[in-house]
Amino acid sequence: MAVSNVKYDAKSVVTTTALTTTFIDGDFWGSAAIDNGAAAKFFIDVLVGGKFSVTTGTVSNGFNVFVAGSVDSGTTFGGNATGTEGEFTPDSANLKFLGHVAVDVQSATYEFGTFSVASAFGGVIPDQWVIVVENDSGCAMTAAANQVIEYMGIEFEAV
Amino acid sequence: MATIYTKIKAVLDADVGTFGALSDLDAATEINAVDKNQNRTSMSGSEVYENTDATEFAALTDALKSQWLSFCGIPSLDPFGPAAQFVIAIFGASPAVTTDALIAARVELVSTGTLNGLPRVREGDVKRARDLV
Repeated sequence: MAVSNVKYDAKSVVTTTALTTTFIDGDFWGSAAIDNGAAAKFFIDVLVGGKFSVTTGTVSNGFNVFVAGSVDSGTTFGGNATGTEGEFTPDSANLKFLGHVAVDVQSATYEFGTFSVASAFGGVIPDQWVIVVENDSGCAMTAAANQVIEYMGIEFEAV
Repeated sequence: MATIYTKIKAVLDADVGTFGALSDLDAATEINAVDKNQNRTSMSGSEVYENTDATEFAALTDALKSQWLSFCGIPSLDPFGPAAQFVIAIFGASPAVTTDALIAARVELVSTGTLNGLPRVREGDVKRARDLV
């Protein structure tokens, strides 16, 4: 009988050009669409993590990280996410909550994760999906170079 | 969320004199400022008791003292209903220390956001509300 092991894929870094000083309290940002079938890899789960860096402000709650999926090969996504990297006007009630990144002091960096994407979608990864970040921290972000969002796919490997 | 932006836009449009010249951040701060009066719909009897002036209470007749203590035993009172008239009947109309204390206590400070059913309004929320046409 064939045996399969779980394999952790190499991490991928998400482009976060618009997660910068203009990403202020109350803004929503979405990543470019991530294709679960890219390079013939079909992940059974994906772990998301990274770090956010905030500047001065009146500290409030933190960052909410969501995911949005597509059932039409990336033409549309849940919650008004666009599939193109940048800010957008959301319908946040229709985004899938992934995790919260608490912010308790200004001018600091917060590591977060890992969050399971499959768990947000009930156990499966959509064909195409995006990562969404809501700034509810009360602070603007520092430069884009200080923001990191990464993900690591998990797949089965025959041995 | 789109509904929230629509509500914020309605708040901004309803008072252009206040919000029109403000930045997104300042408009959000103004909406969140807890500085607007709102009439309370209920007060507890114990809260009414705590606002009773000891000197005025001591000067009441025994019958009025008894009535007042019974009144303070009511779990929930409408501070703008018959309860207000009862207070005046016991302690007199303003100016009277107890009456004035209760007149102040029956009003609370809330934000414009609260008055309009909004959660904390953020700079980015105002930015998106203003983008609505």
